[in-house]
Amino acid sequence: MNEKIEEIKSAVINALQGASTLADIEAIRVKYFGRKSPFKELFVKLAAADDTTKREFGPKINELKTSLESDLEQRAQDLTQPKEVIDFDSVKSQPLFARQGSSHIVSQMIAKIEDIMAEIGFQAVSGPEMETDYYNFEALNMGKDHPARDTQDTFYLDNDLILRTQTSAVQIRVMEKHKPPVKIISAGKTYRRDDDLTHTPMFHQVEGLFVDKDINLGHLKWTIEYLLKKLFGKNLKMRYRTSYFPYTEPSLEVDIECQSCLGEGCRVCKKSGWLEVMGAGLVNPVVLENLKIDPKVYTGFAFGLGIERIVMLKTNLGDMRLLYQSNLQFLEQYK
Amino acid sequence: MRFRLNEIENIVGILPPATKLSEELSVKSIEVNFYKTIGAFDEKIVAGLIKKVWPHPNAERLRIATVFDGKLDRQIVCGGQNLQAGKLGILALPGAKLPSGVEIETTEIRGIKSEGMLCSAGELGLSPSPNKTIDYLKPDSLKPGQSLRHLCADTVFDVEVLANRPDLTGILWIAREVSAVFKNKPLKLRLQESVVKPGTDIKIDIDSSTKAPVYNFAIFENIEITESYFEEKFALYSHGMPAINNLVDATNLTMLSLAQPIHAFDRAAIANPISVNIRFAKNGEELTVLGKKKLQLTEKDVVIDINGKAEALAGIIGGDAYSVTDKTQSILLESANFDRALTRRTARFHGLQTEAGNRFEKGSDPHVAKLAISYFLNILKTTSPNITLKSINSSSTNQTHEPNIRYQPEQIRKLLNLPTDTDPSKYLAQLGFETQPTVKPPIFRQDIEKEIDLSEEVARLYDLNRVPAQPISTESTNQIAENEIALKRNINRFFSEIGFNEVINYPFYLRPDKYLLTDIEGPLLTNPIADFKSLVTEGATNILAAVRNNRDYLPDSRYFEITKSFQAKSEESIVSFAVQNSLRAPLENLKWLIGKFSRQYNKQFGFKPFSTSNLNGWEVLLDGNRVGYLAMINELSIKQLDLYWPTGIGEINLSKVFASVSFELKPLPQHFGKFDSKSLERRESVDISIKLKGDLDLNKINRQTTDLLKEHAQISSFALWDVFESKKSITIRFYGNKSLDLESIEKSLNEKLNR
Repeated sequence: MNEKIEEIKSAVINALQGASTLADIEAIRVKYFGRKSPFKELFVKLAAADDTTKREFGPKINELKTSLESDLEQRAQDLTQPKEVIDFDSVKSQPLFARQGSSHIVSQMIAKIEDIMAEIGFQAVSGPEMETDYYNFEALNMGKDHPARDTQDTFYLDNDLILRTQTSAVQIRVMEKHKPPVKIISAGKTYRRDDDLTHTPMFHQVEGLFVDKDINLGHLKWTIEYLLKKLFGKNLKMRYRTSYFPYTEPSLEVDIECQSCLGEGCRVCKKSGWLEVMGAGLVNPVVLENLKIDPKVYTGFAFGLGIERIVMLKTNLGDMRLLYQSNLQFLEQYK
Repeated sequence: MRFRLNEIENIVGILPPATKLSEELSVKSIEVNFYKTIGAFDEKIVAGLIKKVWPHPNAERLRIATVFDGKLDRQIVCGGQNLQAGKLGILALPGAKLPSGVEIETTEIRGIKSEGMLCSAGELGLSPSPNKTIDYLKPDSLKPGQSLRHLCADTVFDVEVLANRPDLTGILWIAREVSAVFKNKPLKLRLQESVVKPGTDIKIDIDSSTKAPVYNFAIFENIEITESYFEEKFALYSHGMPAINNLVDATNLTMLSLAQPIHAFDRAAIANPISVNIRFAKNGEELTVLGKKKLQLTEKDVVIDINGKAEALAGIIGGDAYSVTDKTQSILLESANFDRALTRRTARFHGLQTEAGNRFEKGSDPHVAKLAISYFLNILKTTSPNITLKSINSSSTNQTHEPNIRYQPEQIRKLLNLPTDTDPSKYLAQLGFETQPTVKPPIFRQDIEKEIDLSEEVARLYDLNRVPAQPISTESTNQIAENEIALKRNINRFFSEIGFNEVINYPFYLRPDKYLLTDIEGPLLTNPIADFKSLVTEGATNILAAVRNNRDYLPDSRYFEITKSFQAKSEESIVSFAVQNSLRAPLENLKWLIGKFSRQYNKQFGFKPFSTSNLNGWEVLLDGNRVGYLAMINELSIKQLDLYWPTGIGEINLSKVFASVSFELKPLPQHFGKFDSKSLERRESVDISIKLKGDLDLNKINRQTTDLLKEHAQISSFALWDVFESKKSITIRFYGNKSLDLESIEKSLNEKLNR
């Protein structure tokens, strides 16, 4: 009888694992628990057996039946489409624990920068992450074989688009539709084919652009100082260095005093006392011409900065990758 | 790119100390990555004149030399195979410390006393491989007894040359730039091209579509291949290049100085008469380059064809067939210029990153090509004095670059916001630009083409830091239709305020991923890195990774992510969310969430049951269209997806739900605390069981426990761990950092909670 019990048990479980529809489940129910089923046979045998056998196997068989029926039910539930007509208004108060939630530190920083820039009239706008080569490169004065493309190793997609390598692409999209004055800030995800200690394949940039009549280098400096001092304090020491970007001219980079050693020179700033935080410049007339905007009438400036860099400086975070590992112990620090 | 302070000072004169030089150069010209001291060898490493050499009586491979150290003749036992009387060697005196830390002593080698050591560049820490030879100084560089450091001690600067300044990949041209910045005047370099009658022995054709502006083929004879002097080796090492032999070293040093790559072919290997053709390769044409690498060429590659066969990849690398050897006596020296875009394309296509390619693809100065031939000759003469330059065969196409740019100082001042008394021509003159009547940039500044280029030059030399800042109008200019940002912030607040933690994931699906939740993948990455395969079409796969990452220590948690669903031709914004709970509460959470969501945003959602192999739940409908879903991971999949605890997920397509709703831009709460790495350490936990007096009221327990947390600073969070409704008891797990004093906390909590 023991053998028989084990045999039924494994047969039912095997059958259940193979079941993929409710009809299968029903077939199993009929086959093993119905009128001519092995279970019925067992009970018939048991009824005819002596008292010792009854005492020994009765509870066992019952237990098996209950357990298998529950498995059957469970499997049926898994396969069943939910039948419950839910009344979503029924659960009015929050069930269970109200751990405090949090916005990601990167989202917080983007919002902060957008808000600072809003104070001086910059409108926050967004753009697509899948871009065309034209918006991401060509319109920004970076033709197909431009060496500056080397610094922006690009992900190509099978739909002839690329993942944008910079938020500057939004400049072009906005200026195509809106003639100057244009005064925007655009933050978002950007992608480069890099994955190591200091680079993640996805990161966030924010780009500012102001095109109007008579915009000059002094305006750019004032705007950069406004933003960085709001972020790092009004006594922040800054330095401007000449640089090169195809879409701005003159181009410059902005360093701030190392927040770790306050200019003394340490490992973070490679002993220079300075940390690079931003690239900027006056909009290259070629870019304006590409957009049918007359560079003799309009001039402008643009600047871009990496959000992760700013977050890391602001919070003393050493490892950028922590931002994207969804570690709750990390995320909850910023709430 | 690197340069040494001494080599620049030798050209332009004394410069400020390294700190100031580095600072000002970074601000006005090229960014200095770092600088460091090199060649500061021990004082006791000196020049030693080798007077006499004779065999070692007890060792075949050793010899004995008498070396004059400026005061005395010393006896030195030496294994250098090239040991030769009359040469100026590098002598480490007893007591001298080598860069490796080894201290030289007077010793006996096979029974012969040796009072010091004759060194090779390797022993001075300059080349990685041990040498079997010793190195020699140029005859007149140091007097015997003078320390080597007098010659070598220097500061090397590592600088970042950007794409617009190809000229700064040559040391001489860096000197030119340094002069403009620090001496306020253009550098007058006296560089002379050797006077040789133009050769007619070689026929050179340039296919004009290759856009190669100039091609020179110089014939050199009577070359003796040997090792370079130590000075040359040291120069190469300081720029991070290896020393090979005097010929190759001379080509490399020429390139380092002039930014002009040159290449030597073995003359004897090439049959007469020689004809050269700069042309595009044929598809499928083969070329074996130096290092025996075989390339399959395409019709986009420019090659140097010698006698009908491709023998070099133009501007990138030479072919193997005519490469120089130790036996080479005459060479054909190529000094040419190639189109930067074509060079770049070919280098990328074949994956060949070379020093030459790096220079040509930035766009180097074609006028230097001929000069490089003379420069090379002067270097090689020191080790191969009998060398002769027989002829220079040249060909060029008409690609001259002589822009005439309007000079409008008022425009420059206005654009740069410079004071009215600023004279831009002063700064342009420092760089050697003529400004009257129009601006003529020096021939080597190929990057200067337009008026705006002049402003950049003036801005940097004036010093960007001196440009006065000028406030802008703070008014907003135009209202661009933009709703996405306000919407996302609103959604962000909605979720974070009700206990959800925002996560950000890379929006990629991995290569074979057992956790993948969908069959529909977004656009594929055609050049993936790591395991990233395609863009995501839904958020659940990634957000469940967050659940998995945290489930071991925080089974009660909620996550949301505002991300994209990428389709072939479009991308839509979605919010994806997940709830994990140790009780069977996720479903309750999801119901509560969607109820709150629909009330908050005044949306009448419909629901339609659905199930997949992993999920059982409801599609969320708006006006009959699917705009998202809510679902429980089914019991079997919880295990398969390594989630362990009951988990519910959902997604709402923001682009669809809020297509016509506009939001007001409101701030996000901000908390920029200093990062605390300790909080990432594995947590300790303590479980407390509570007997319930009445019915299970989870909200009450939640409130009381939260209050309790305020009294216990070491406890950072808690989770409901288990519930035994039949027994009317509940277990709560409390988490703290590693230093948690479990016993006392357990006691205190037990008392309070069970009261």
